[in-house]
Amino acid sequence: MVTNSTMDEKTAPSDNKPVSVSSGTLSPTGRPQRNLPGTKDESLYQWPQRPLESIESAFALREYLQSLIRQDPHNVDLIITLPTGQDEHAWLYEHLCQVCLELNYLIVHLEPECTPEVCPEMRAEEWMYYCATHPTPRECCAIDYLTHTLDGASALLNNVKFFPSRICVPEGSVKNFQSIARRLYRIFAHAYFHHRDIFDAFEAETSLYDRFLKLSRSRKLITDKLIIIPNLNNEDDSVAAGARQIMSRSRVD
Amino acid sequence: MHQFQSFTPQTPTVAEYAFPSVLQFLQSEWRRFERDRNEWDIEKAEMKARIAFLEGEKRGVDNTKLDLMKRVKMLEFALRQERSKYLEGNQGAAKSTAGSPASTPQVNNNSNGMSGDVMTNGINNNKALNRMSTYSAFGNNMSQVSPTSATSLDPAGRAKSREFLRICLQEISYLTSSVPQSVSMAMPPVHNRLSRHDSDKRAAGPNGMRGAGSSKNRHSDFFPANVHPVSVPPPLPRSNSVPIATLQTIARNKAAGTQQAQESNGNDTDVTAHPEDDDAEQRTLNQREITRQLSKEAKSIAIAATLDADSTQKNDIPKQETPEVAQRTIDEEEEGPTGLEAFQREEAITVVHSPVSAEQWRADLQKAGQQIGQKSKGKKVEGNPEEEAQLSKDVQDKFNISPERLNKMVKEWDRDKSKQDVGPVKTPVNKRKSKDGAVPDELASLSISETDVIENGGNVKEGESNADEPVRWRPKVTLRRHFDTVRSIAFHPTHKSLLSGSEDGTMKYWNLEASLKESKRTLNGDVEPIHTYRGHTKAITAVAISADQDKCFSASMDSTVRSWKLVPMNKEAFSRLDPEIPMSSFIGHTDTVWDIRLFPLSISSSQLLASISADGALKIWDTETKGSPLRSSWGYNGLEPSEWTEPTQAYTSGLAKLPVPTGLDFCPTDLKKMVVSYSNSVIKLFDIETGKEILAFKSNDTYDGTAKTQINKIVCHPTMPVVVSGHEDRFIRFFDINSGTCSFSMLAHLDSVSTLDIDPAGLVLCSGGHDASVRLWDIASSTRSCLQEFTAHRRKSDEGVTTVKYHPTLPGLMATGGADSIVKVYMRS
Repeated sequence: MVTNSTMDEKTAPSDNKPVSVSSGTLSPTGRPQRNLPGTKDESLYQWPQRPLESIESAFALREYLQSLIRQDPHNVDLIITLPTGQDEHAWLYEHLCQVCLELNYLIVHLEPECTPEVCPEMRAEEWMYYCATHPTPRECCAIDYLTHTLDGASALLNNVKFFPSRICVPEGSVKNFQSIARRLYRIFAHAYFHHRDIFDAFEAETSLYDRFLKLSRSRKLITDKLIIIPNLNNEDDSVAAGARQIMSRSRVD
Repeated sequence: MHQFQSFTPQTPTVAEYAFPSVLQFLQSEWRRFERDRNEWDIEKAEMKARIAFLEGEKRGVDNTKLDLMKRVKMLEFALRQERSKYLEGNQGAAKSTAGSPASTPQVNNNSNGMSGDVMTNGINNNKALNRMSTYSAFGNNMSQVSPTSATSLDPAGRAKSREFLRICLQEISYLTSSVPQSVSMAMPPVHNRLSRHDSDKRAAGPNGMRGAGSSKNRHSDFFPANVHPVSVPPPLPRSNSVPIATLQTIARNKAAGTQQAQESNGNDTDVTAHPEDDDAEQRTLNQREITRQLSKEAKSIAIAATLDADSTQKNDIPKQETPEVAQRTIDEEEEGPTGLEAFQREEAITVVHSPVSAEQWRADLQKAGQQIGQKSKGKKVEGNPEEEAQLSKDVQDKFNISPERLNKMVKEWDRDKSKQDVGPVKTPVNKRKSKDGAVPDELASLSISETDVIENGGNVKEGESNADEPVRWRPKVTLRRHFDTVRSIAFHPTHKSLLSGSEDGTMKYWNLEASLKESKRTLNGDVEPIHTYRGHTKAITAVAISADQDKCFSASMDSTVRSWKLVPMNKEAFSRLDPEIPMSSFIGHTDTVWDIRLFPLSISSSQLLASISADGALKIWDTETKGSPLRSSWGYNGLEPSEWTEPTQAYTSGLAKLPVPTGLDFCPTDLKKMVVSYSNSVIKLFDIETGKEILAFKSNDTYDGTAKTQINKIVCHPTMPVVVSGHEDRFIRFFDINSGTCSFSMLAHLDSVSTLDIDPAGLVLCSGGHDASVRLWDIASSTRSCLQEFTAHRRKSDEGVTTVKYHPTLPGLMATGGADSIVKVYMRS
């Protein structure tokens, strides 16, 4: 794990011409934070964590969030804590984007197993859901529901009409967070109740559900009565992740 | 059968058409075609360079024209001063005022007042006046030019002087505007044809609109699409103007030869078109005769009046035959007179009132035209700066004309002229004049920066094709659906659709058909992808489309390359998932796959795909085979014959310690080869079949041992044996494939160069950098000037633009992807 204190002191790039100010934000270490072609797996994203204030790009919050997650995806409390001086809704927005991003990978894992034959309906325990991305809600099979929901969420989150800026979120758009969160929750729910092993393995790797749930609860995005996945474990620290994984596996077996 | 063949090897038998020999034949044929194509490209580049050269000259001539204009203005002013002085002295002698303008020459010549040939000039002038008086419309403009300084004059005298001034001005516009024309006359055919079309336009008479349109369009054919103010310093040295320094001179000569041949061909066709022209000329003959006489007289006045600089230039022109002129074919000579410049020349020289026969007439004109052409050429070459400067100074001193004032006068003149251009003027003189104005303006607008283009917009937009303008790419569609950096984009080879791969692990396929049609820019991101490909478990690094197979490919940080069915363009968003879409995975790399490239040619039974990975290997896959897709794999040192059969574990693990590939491309000019760049900045040329290293480029001179100088991207030129590399140290470098030497190097961006693409025609290089800018480079010119630069994307974690792509077949379509998760599609305007 890289911490702020371990920034290596590399010399600035040997420019024969001074890089103009507009050329942007070289990190204090002088090493550009980018994955050059040819970078090996172990070196990907291996740059020091920058304090949020020093990130000058328009994507400062996203960069900060992603670097937190890369550092330790299981340190949920740190990840969902609003950085000081930041806009609550903008932070929420970035989080939801990140959840959508990572849910892609959950779907990738679900796809081989969650076929229209296996899951002809979008169910989570005793609930059944209709796909709301169509003009009239439709009974899509589970995998379609999942992809449609995710595509719909990404369409909404990327809509400049609702979210014109990454720095602040218009008041009118805040209500969208709830509907997005509610639908994304169902993806987790379906995975949990019907593809438990995949859900658990994924959760062990990313703690995505944990992050999402804590975020939604703390920001009142989802009412408690809609939460149908039983508490995985009461621990929220990363230490429990491994144990949780073992436990959940044994439970499935 | 075999026995029999072996005994009679000489006789051609059916067996000679065996598959290998056919294949060989086809290959040799194909190679021949490729060679020819290369030659054509070289030739094309030659022509381009020539055009640039000619334009440089043109600009010089324009400057001369401006200079002359200034002088004319000064003379006019001087004339007015003298005249008012004269009138003050001779109140009531209004009838002789017409003579007074003739005093100007004395001002110029010996600067001691008027005397002498006032009378003769006066007579000439009166003659001219008679002719001129019919063209009153023209006079109106003149009156605007003349300041009302001579208010005390009686009206008749004023009118007469005005007439005289008008003639002067007319003459001046002849002299000045005929300069570029005549110069162009001395050049090979491009300008000739241009002006031929102008003459068509003129001949078309009142309904000259058709001609106007066509001439503009033709015209656009002869000028490079991309002209940048700084791109062409006036006369380019010929040798440098060849785009790629390594072009063999042999090829150049050959190209020149072909060019010559084409010239005469083109002219032949022109000759066949002559009857029409002749008719038209006959029809307009009356008009022209008047004009001719007029101008002749005006000319004589002008000469008598000795507009100093001009006449000295005229007089001391040696009758030197430049080789270029001497070389010109008879065809050209025949064609020449139909051109506008010939028309002008004819006026400028002698009376050819009634041509005996069209041929005779034309020949005479041609001869005369050539002389003038030489004269102006000589004039241009010699110049006489000191004398001119002295003259200007003298006049300025004498009349206390400040430079500002002079400029103002010139401006006024320009304004009036442009007014004339626009105005619906009907008389022949004005028509011709407006043409004189329009042509140089049109030419000038080609070489002037975009602000000027905007100013000239009305003039330009109506008829001229956009390709003629400095090309401007404008964002048309913005695609926002990705959640993270867009790493790679690929256009469908024929459709208006696009594939984008992102670090969010998804690949999206976009149908741009509808959104490109919309007139307004659809920037608010309402375009929905027709499909989102999910399957990779980590970020996607590269995508590719193979239309023949109806497949697309993606490479990812999860070490795999995957192939997918290309969804149909009309697929609805949010439709049922097609389980057929994921097709296969190419598993074999053990580290991030950084780039993939499809072999440029696909044969029905096989489509090769090359991938490079951080594990150090380059792998070639056969994407169509039923069996094991891996065709070959090699590392930094290429493939040794022993490894060919069985890559050992030690070998693959050893690879990782060697430099890893960072970029790859197939060579369109030699399909057996491909280039790969490595993390130590070495570019290597490999034989695709054998995996043998053919050549290591001397590209690592700039490598300092760290990733800060590595190569991020390489692309092969589509038609020339050139590799272009984009470096982390912000440079773009050009390498010759045959020798491996760097032929050109330029500091291209403010931050590292992340991506490159060359337009399908091979004329423009597009580069994207982590400074968030996209730049277009004119690689057909020797200077590689930047044609356009724009900020395309916002930066995220020190990344800016990550990918740029031209549409492979549809011109005027380009897309960029950036760290801001956005894909932008641009159209050329």
